[in-house]
Amino acid sequence: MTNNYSCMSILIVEDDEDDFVLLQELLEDSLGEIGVIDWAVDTKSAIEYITHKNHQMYFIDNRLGAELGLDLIVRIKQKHEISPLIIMLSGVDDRLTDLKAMDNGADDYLIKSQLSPLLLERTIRYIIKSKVLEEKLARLAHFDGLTGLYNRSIFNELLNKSIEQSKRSHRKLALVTIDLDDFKHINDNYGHPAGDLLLTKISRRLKHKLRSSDIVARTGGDEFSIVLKEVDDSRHFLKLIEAIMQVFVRPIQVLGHDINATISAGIAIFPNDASDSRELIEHSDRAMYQAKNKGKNTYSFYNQDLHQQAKYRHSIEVKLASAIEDGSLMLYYQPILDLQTQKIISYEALLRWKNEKGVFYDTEEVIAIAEQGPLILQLGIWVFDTACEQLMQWQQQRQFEGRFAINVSAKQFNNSNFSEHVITKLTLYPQLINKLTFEITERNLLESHPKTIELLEKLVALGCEFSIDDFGTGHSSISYLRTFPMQIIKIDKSIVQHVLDENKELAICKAIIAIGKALDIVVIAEGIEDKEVADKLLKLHCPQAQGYYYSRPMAQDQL
Amino acid sequence: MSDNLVSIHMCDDDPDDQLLVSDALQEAKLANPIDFSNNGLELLQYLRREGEFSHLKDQPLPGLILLDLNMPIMDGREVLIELKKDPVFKSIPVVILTTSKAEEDIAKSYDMGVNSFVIKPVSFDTLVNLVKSMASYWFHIVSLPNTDK
Repeated sequence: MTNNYSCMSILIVEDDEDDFVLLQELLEDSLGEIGVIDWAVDTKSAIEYITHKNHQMYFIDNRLGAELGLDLIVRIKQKHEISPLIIMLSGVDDRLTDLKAMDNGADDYLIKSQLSPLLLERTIRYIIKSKVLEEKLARLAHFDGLTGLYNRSIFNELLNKSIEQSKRSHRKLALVTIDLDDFKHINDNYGHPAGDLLLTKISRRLKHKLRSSDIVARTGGDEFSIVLKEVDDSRHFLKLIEAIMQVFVRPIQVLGHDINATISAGIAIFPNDASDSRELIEHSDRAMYQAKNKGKNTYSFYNQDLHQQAKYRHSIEVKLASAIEDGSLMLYYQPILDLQTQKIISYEALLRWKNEKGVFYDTEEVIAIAEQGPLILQLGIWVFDTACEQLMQWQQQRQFEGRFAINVSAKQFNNSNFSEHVITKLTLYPQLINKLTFEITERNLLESHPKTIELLEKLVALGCEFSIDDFGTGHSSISYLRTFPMQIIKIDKSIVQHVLDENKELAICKAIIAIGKALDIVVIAEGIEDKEVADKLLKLHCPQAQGYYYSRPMAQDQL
Repeated sequence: MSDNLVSIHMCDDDPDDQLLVSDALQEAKLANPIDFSNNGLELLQYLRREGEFSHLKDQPLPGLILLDLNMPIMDGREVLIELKKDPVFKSIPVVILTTSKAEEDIAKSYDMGVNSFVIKPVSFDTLVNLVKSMASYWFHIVSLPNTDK
């Protein structure tokens, strides 16, 4: 069998060009084709290479001008858990340097004048063999042989490190303890090899579901532990844990059987639920047993509030997904008027959804929940399609010829599917051109990505208008106007409702109206509930208005 | 360097097995590209660069095929017969993956002109070692220690 070094990269640190060329030729004679041979002439460029590249083999001349190559060894060793091959070269046979090189961690010490292809090849071969052994031992110490995941002892160490990191970065981490449900059953019914294979396959699925920064270990027979790192918002843990639960939806093929494995998972969050790793492990375990007690195939947070929140959110998501399908969602319409003529310019379509008892859900909350996942995209399409159908029906019945304003989440525009859907619709139904306004709330940011802007402009060219909703409540009001093609500003009701007194809100309102005038942007005052405010805004020359004073949002058949 | 590495093709209907083998390759520090098909029919389309694989027209054929026996649509035995009939494909080494010794014995009795049989290991470490020895056998690659932290 021929050894092939064509994948290997070698760094030679040597200040003498003749010696470098000689060594290079010797290496090629002894090893055959070599992937890459880099050359550093001094310690400075050697350090540069060591820092930025990973070579598998280093040849270091000890005498580099005034400096010594010995120090480089330490640098290489620091960078690697198991060091690559390091061979010291010297012009003279010096026992002291030899010993020092060995102490520093060099694998061999060779005298230049004695080098031969045979000697080099043999030296390298022997070193590789011992390195492979060293690696095997390290693997045994750190990894679980069955699953290839980290084992318990190294996991504890990694957990401690992660906690230290989390303290420094002020970001949260979660410890997830997972226990397979009824694993004994699987072993008893299908045999131990099947059980083992099941664990191996589950491990791969878990590893692939997680981010590369997360740590996953097998910490017991049928127990896994996961550290989810660098999360700011506890709600993100929910998403990650739900992704982990998803791993078990599809049956696992094991030795000819399709096994539906399920897990119980417990989650504890640092620093919220514990102050050190011992406590975190304890609390995560306790949460896992809670999940078992709840009937398995589920997860539980150590912090019950978060758990309730998770459960509630999940139930809304499930119900909403079926509501989109079964037609229990509705759109209500609220007119927007020209303040001067009192004529209806447009209608804003607003989502309404009743539960089984006929009570309305809080739309804002529902949308906030939908926005945390992909459901918002589906919901957005439903709202858009339904509004378009309604408008076309009104157009046909000559009931209304103006525009429709449709609420859109920034998330929908950050994803190009929605824009494409709109463009298709406008192509199919040209009667919608110049009739659609998209209201985007400031609270969720549009990405100021060139592609997003390009899409918005494409829609503007098709006669769509963009409106900033809740203007004045977010942080980016003005930058929004500068970055995106916006035609309408809607002043938030929290400002509008206070314009009767001489105060900051009045000044802000005046300023926004002035900005609108200067930029040729239509300004709409939202949330007008009485005549006084309406009169005041007319006096301020606010162009358009909307609110209960004129009309509540109404179902299509009430209008 | 990796541009001219021999590629591996795995034909197996179990996505978990596909995942395991590609992870094992990575763990073994083998940079050989690997791709997958889910049954015998797909394997033939893949090798013939037909249908969804037509974009691979200019790519070289794989240097090794890992073939599962039990698959829907067209199983391992059926596709092997096709492969061995083809003047080009018959020279690609095929390693049959089986789930047990018994299955291997049965498969061997068919005398399908296969290069070797391998029982899918239960543990990940064994799989990594298996992949390493397969690579050194078929591609003559020296196994170097894993030096990354």
